[in-house]
Amino acid sequence: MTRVLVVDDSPVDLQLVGKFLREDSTLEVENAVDGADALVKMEQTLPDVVVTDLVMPEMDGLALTGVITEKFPLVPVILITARGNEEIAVQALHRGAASYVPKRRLADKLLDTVREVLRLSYRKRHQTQLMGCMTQHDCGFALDNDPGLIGALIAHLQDEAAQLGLCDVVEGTRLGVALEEALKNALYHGNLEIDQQLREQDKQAFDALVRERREQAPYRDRRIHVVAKLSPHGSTFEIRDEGPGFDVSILPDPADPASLEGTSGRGVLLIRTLMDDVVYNEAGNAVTLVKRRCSRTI
Amino acid sequence: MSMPKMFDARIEGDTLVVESLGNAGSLVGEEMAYELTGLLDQFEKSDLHGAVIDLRNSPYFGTSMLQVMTALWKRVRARGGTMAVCGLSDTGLEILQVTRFDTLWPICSSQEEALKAVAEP
Repeated sequence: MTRVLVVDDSPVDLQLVGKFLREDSTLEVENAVDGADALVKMEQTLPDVVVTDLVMPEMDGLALTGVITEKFPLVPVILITARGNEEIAVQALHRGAASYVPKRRLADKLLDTVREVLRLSYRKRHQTQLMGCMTQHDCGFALDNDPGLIGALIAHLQDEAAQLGLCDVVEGTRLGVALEEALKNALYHGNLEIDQQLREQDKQAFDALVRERREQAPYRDRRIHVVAKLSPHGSTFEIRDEGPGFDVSILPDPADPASLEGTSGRGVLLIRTLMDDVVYNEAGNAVTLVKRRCSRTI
Repeated sequence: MSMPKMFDARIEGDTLVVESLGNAGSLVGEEMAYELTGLLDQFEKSDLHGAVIDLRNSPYFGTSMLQVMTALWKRVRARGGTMAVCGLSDTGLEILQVTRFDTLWPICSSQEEALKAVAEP
């Protein structure tokens, strides 16, 4: 049976909504008299979907939607709105509600909406379940020199790492910072061959040169190649640019008081600190970052 | 499409207070740095002496941010002032410690504490 939790402080409305839902014999309807009651019942047994009135004392439907979205992200919420509450319905959608039904359209729309939301919800739930079964994920990218792609790629790799249980939020953040530094090095200093010094001395000139070289051969034809291999035990990220490479050993030591005010070398230092292992190839245009599973997620 | 605003800036006495707004959903160091560059101009054109950077809504940042923070700090220092940083996450603190910027800037637990640190002669 599919469980629907109906939340409304009006016994008459509870009865009315229940009547429409019971037209589908596969639905089992349970009632809650307000938001707090709904949350208690959800702690006991998780419903497949929640249908809630908007206007209720204490915690209204909007607030309840926010709490459910945060605490029970896989349980969809459908809001029942009165005439004139369309703006609030939009707010509810922003807060994570799956859909809404105007009170005056309950008879012809409620059941269809519940069925549609359940269909989408099952798909999402199965996807989540499937991702939980993933044991390995290998992927490769060849990025052009668009800085905007870096953030998107990092977010993707962080999501994949979290999905595999490889790292918690803190370790995912550390992974993200290291990847960002390595990808920016590949883009600016590798493919576009722009000196770090220029960035420190004149940011505007640096930005102008980035724009210029992104359009100019041979820089524009170069790609950043990323190969990621993730498993629950650890991950490796190989990041290679098509530039001439550089000698990592000649980077200034950020711990040296003479270079303390600059930022040269700090990106590589961050990468080395935040990852478990970092290996550069001989040419200095490829780096392999290794992240082992952190103990907090075991 | 323009990026959402990532920082708010206001003036407290003779201190520029910069607060992150938490719009950085993913690593977007370049955009954060770009916006902070505008704040450098604001400082340059004023007679402010100190700066506080409150990163409570930015749990992570990289060298792009550090570069702009360094640039702001150099301007503050040229006027004989101090720049303090507050609202750091564990990762944010770790980044400043690894890069040794924690030896240059007072790290404070709250904005109030940072303002006091900047106000001290």
